Amino acid sequence: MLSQKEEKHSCDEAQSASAKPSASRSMVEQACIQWEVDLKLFLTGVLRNSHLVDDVFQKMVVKAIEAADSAHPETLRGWLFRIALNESRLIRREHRRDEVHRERFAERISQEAPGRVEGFEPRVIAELGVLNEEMVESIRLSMRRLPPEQQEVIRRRVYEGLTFAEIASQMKLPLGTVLTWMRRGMQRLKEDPKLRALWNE
Amino acid sequence: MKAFIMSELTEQLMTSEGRRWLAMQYVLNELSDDDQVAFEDALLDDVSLCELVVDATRLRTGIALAAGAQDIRPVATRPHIVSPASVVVAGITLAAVLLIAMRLPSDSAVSSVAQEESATADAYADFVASDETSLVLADLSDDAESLESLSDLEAPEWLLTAVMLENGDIVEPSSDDSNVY
Repeated sequence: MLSQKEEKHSCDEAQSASAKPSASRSMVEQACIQWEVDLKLFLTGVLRNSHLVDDVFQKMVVKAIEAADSAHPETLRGWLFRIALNESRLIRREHRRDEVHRERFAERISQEAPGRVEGFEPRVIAELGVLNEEMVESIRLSMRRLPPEQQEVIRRRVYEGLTFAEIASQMKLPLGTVLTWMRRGMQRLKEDPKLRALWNE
Repeated sequence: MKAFIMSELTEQLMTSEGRRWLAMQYVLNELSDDDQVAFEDALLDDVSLCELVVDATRLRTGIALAAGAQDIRPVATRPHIVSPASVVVAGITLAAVLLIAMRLPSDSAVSSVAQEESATADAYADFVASDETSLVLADLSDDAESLESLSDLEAPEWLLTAVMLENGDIVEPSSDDSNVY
């Protein structure tokens, strides 16, 4: 059950496939290996459920290799992201059918320990191998360089999983202030030269 | 309302900062359902937006892992680490201040204060001895209470000392006779 936009993309790909040289299966397979970490991070971001990432990644690789004829070497990365997104959407729809079960699961997870939000489990993500210890340590150090208020907002939102409204209420601050601190903190982390250097390696 | 939300999102997608923030909000599941669908539609067309989602997820994951490894707390209460260089600088500064403090009392500062106090005492003594005082006292003679209060007025000890020194009434106290004053 594809949306109009997804269908349009499938048609575009089919039309352009005849005009440009397509990628081979081995090329697609190689690209999946090369960009595995980024694709898994992308899937984590879209799914917000680290337990599903490995499964969806396997499915998307199979689908990508099967559809290698419609891929083009110069747009391969974007094409893989698109397949990853469509697969994620498909999985999400399947999961929504069992909404009650999911809510119970989320409730149980949130009661077990902090830092487990929306099926976003750091330990599981660590096992996916998308971040190494050096990166984690660098992020920790970069966090410490942030102003205390920005650290606090980021920690409460990302680690404790509180909503911005809850954080604003707890800290007795306007919501806009909390959002601004979060935004500035994330911006500074993203622009941290040490982190950037590590990510670009 | 939906149209407004959509246009706002589209507007944010126009700037690099807006795109980054949207990607982070998307990863944090902060977008409304409509915005989320619109954002994902934009992802289908936009590889660089996909890259921003990857970046945002990496950052979020890293923060969560870092927080798990060692609780990230605001640095306000963390112990202050003093570097050896700052200790040396502080020592030199302290020595300089002490040196200046030791040199000052012997010269200008104390003597100027003494001169000022002496001048004030002279002026006060002159005033008491002058005719003006008797005129003032005469004016006050009708007011018994005021006169009485004036008689109760005690001159400060430093003033009396200065006047007596001026008149040669007393000799400088010796070190072993500290109970004179």
